[in-house]
Amino acid sequence: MTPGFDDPSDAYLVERLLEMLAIPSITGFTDELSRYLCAELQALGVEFQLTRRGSIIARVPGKSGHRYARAVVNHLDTIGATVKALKPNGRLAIAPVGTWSSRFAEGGRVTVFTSSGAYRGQVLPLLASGHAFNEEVDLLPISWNQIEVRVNERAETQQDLRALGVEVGDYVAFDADPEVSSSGYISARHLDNKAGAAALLCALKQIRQERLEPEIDLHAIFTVTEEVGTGAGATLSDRVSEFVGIDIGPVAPGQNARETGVTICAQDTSGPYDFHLRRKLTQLCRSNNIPYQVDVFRYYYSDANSAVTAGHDVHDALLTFGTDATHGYERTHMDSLRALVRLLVAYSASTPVFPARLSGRREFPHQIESQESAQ
Amino acid sequence: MNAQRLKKTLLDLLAIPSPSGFTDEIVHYIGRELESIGLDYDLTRRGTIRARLPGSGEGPVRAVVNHVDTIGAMVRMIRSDGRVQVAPIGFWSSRFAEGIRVTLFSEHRAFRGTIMPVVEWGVSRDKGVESVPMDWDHVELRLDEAVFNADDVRALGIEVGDYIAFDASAEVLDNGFIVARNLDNKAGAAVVLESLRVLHETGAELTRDTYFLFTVTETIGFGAGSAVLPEVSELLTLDFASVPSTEKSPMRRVTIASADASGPYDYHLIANLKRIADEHGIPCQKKLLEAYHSDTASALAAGHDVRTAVIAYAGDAAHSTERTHIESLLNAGRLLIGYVTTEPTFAKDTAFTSVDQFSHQITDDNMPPQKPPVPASREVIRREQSGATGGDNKE
Repeated sequence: MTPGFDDPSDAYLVERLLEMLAIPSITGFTDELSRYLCAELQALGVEFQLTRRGSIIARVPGKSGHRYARAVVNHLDTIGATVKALKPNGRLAIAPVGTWSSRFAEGGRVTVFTSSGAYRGQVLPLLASGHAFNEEVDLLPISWNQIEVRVNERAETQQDLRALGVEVGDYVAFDADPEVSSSGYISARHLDNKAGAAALLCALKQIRQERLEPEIDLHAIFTVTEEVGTGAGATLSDRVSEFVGIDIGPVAPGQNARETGVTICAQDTSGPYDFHLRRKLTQLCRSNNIPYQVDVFRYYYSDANSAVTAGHDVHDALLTFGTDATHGYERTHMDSLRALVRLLVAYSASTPVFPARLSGRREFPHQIESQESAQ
Repeated sequence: MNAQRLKKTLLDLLAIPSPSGFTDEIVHYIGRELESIGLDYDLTRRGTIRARLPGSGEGPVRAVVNHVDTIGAMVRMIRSDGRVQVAPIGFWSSRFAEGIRVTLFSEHRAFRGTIMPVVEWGVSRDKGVESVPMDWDHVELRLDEAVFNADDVRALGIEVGDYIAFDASAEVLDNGFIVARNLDNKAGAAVVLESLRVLHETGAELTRDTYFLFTVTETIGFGAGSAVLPEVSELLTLDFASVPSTEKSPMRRVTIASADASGPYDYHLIANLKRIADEHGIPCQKKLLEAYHSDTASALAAGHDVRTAVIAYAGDAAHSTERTHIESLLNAGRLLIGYVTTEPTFAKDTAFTSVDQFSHQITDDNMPPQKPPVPASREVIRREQSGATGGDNKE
């Protein structure tokens, strides 16, 4: 496949993205994408370890003399669905994996993975024919109880479905349907967070190829359960003092995120991100002429939440690529992914926010200068 | 406990802005106070303070936890009319933000302003005010600067993500009431600092090593997760709780939480606290706190195997204009001192012990018989029939 980008870095990023979009990776069904990432990391000559559940911890050694490490964390799992019931009409009721609206599931082409093989199908509202139901179609509520999967096999009864080997709990993966426009826009499902993974791979490639030694050990972490809220818990060593998440940034009316530049999240549903690390990242953007904006995400969690909940004492931050219609029909732009790659490379070369464990209050930072007080 | 000194500490704490994520200055203040008492402590990366006081006995280590972060807000959008839209930090209603004076901290300097409902002033103002919905989308920050469009605001250096701190507007009344925003949980921190001073001055002996933790992210649900060490067996949180004040107990009592939104607290630790309160004549009540979370929940979520309990000083109108009473704060301090100078709930409280050393909750004494003894029907009928027939046995 020729993505149509002349720049080798762009081409690498888009090729990786399109390949990852071709591999289903619903939360809980991520083994193949983990294996793909492992192969890519091997190709880049980056060492890594796998957790039991399939998270990948890759390590790029930094200059010696630092006790601490930093983590850039990115999730591989996506939203999707599982089979909830085999219906008497030979169709499948499904339950969402991750938090998303059934509105965006309707019409989606899917693959149902059973223990005896995979089947193709499509998600339809219960009243799917205008000729049969006329305006009733418009009145059908939007809910996961109002849609079903039509499997493209001869299945008209529950018995037919059983004979095919379909069982409750089978994973249902939605086609990504990617489209890369020459204008630089990329439209697809599951840009969340495969575009982030592609950007991180691209940054790692640049670091390896140009032999850019990170300032301190860089842990590139790929988690597999972010969409259900538990991603980063088991992936951090105590040496990690900075945690920079990479994820999707919602572009919508009332949001400051854009499909260009890096969008840095200041706060989401789980509260503010670390003051000092965010300030360091915005300063890195300015000194490297990387366009950026800061935003507050309203209904949003990231892997930083699972890391801090698990008891890790880390400075956390979140870098995002602005994307329109997240968890729906997602669209981002090469420009924001390029900016993200540049920022990740600059970040890996930068000094840590705080050089070492703070030994006492005198080394502890300040947020308010006494001359700053306005009152 | 020295009431005057406690009040002074509280007023100092209330004067330092500390919304979650913007707590560095209050960490310095608490650190200085601990240094002045002569206590050693260490800091986590994010600023949680952990002071360890040695105790006389061997065995389980305790932790006393209170948080110093508060609710607040953050810039989420700079509007084209020069007003600033804000997002809450922590969970609270915009109803309590309206009309409050605030300080906005930008990268280089701070600005003053007021949170206002979004109303088209001058245009049917009389009707407009009542019909504005109550949520964070319908309040805005009016900066006290000459700003009339978004560029004016940006020219001041104000950006999305800047922190906004709400004035505490504290009032300390002669009748003992203390009224302010952010009493949750600066009043708790003042109580702990005063208790530490008293422990130091009286030379009172702690029965076991005890950590005193001041956490900085409770309001957003993290708090104690990273600061509790595996050796800790008991974790006692001191926090603010809204309790109905009755004529009988005008804000004097200490509340021992039996459960909150994250479930019941430790059965044995609660019983121990109640015993200590009774021994010291401290008025207290047990109460189920609905819609309430504390730092103990974050410690358990992080996987720590600890007994947990919450004691709370009497509060009114949490996350609004809060009110407490000096008597309740002093009583909370007395209970805290009683707790750390009394033997722990279990002398040996190690994990993965054998079952013979494990505690009981039900004993022969407090277990009622499942069913009252019921006479067998056959027996009763036989007796009744033999009796009713006057011994005339027809068999």
